[in-house]
Amino acid sequence: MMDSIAVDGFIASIMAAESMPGCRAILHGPGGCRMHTTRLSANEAIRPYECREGPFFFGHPRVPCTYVDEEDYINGADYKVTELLNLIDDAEVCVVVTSPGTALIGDDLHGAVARSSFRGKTVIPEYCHMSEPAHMGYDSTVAEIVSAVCRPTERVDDVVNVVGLPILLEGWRETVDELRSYLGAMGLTVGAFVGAGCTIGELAESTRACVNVAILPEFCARTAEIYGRMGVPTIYPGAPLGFDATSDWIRAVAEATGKDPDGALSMVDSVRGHASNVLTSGLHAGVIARGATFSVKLENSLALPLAQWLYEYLAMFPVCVETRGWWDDGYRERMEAFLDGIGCGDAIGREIGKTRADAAFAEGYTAKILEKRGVCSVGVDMGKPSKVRLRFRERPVLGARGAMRLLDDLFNDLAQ
Amino acid sequence: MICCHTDALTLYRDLRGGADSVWDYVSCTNLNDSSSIFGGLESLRSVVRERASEGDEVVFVVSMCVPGIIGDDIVGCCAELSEELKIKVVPVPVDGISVGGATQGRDVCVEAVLDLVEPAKTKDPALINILGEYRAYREFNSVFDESVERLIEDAGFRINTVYPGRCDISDVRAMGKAAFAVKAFDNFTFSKTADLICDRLGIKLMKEPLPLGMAAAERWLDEVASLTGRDLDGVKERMRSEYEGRIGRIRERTEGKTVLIVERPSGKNDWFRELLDDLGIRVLKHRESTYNRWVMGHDAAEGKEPHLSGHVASDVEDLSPDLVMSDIYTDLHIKTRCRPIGRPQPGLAGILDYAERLGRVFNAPALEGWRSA
Repeated sequence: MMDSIAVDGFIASIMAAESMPGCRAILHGPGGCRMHTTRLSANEAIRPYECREGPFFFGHPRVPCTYVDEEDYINGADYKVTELLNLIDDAEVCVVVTSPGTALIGDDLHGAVARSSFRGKTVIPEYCHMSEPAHMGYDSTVAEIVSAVCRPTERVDDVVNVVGLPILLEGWRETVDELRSYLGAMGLTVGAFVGAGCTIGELAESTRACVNVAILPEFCARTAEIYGRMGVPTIYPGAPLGFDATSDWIRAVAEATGKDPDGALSMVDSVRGHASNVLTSGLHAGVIARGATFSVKLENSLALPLAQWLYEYLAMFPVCVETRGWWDDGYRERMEAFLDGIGCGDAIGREIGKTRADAAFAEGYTAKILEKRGVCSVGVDMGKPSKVRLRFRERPVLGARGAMRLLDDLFNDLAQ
Repeated sequence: MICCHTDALTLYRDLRGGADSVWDYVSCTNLNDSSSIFGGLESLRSVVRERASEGDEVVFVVSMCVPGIIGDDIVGCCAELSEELKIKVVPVPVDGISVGGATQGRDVCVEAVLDLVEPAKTKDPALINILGEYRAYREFNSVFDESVERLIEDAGFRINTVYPGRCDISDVRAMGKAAFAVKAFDNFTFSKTADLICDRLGIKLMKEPLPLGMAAAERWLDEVASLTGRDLDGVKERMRSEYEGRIGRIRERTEGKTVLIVERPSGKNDWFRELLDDLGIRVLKHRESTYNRWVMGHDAAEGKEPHLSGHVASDVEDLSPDLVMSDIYTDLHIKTRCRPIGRPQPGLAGILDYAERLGRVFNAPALEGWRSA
């Protein structure tokens, strides 16, 4: 038996709050719910460490927690939220996230906020998102922060925002750098990487953008709706995973903004050329992958470009594409059409844990457990939850640099 | 649910371990908002039936916060499932935090596990149970098993079961065969757990835990000798001679060095002070933290001054120690040479390994490059 090992909406909601400097997640729940999120925030939303001693923090600055105990479940503990907020002096926005258990006890969080001396903006998500997938918790929380912080303003032609890039995604910082460089090469300025490292100041001014460009659509559906109400449309070029999808992403942005994509495309081509050189000069090492099989269990918006890229670039064949709850029927149709077109229509419907493949692309633990059990020869770690806890070298998934990382992981292990 | 699916530390340990995965053993009912209203027992029944269909004979059901708050009757449900499936479905109704902290939860679980132990008509004096995973929380792994196994063997024992720690159901069932048990570590809460286990099983619990440091090893061997009538003087002499030879060489590097110590009141670090003495290291100041009431016991924590890293920083300025050793991780950000006290592995090899590492630290840069950036 193998359960799904994926980040859920509750964890994602906390990470969304932690994704923007100037914004803090405040956890109203037991200490046991804090341990993991504190570490995750520290590892993914890296900030300079500042020791915070005393109650609620106990030495670690991120995701302070009310440490609800069994008596609080009976008597209520909203006073702890007030006391905690009174201590916050380094954030412009606080998101008060309740744990699954605390969400049931009906604490008056709005009253607790009103009674506190915290004078920044406070967001109280309506749900704890425990029973929802990661993208629901992440998107919904970012959307609520956007609602609280942003107001409509005059739009500027050469400014775009990037939305739907969760910091849960492996190598999100490198992806931010890479996408910024492509947009810069087209003469565009990024107003805000919304939910991916933008400051609250940048977020407040993000409604001046002429357009939002989506990365993973399911991670920004609600956010895009909020921006839409403030006059900022969102385009969905598909996730830039692999060389071709990255180029397509650039072309879509250029078309939406009326810019020339050539400079940015040549940057992708340069990396693509290097990859070809590596594969051909290593006595055509690329042929190792030809005809090899792969399985995928990822966010749906990553699964399609990944499957297309592995097939078109390396001539690998999907034997299992394990889907999540679909957010977009049209997307599923495209996936099915692609798989049918290459004679692999039966890949959907299989379970990754029961399908032998040469390579499995999945969240880190799932990938490594599949590898360990011999279900695949190489399990490519695509992100959290992952065995990789400290990241010193670049490990992006998206963009041309992400393609190089995936090739590196795939070939160096597959060859063994 | 998060409690199960994102326990990164469990998963991390899992992947470092043997061939099996924790996901072969842990299933989750994945309760959702609907379960919070209508109850989660149907999900529980479904998961347990699936486990039974895969051949599991014993299933423990541990309840988290939400089932506790909504009042799911997991005890009754487990009884029904045991009857229906003809396997043992054992409820562990901790209800998340409702029984207290992690240590209280552990005791509830241990009680449930002990129901599986088979009664033994006779106890084997050559067998000993180790209570607790002695490898947990030790820095580095270089002397993992060798140190403890040699000690146990030198004392004339064979390890029967390591629980809680590394064991399967058959090991648990066999726990009652051992005449003796020893704690892997010694703290307020774990001692209560060890008492609970030995009282239930009628096993003699050694007073001394697995020994940290040379003096404790000698005391431990003396206790074994007194409990079993074995002559262990030769073992002690051999260990002492090896210890003094190795420590003497390390002392050439540590003699006259100074340290400032911050330790938890619950630390029971006699081994550490003995080692500092043996290495000729002088303690300039000793501080106690107030962490933590669960491990120390509430009474011991009462009235303690809150520990702040600022106090230690000020001590460093006044006293200029060669090294700060602290079990409070926030102290390790003080801008001077520092390291945690931690713990050695039990046994001779463990303390010698620790001493070697400590000896080297005095030659380390006061501020590593990454900390001075």
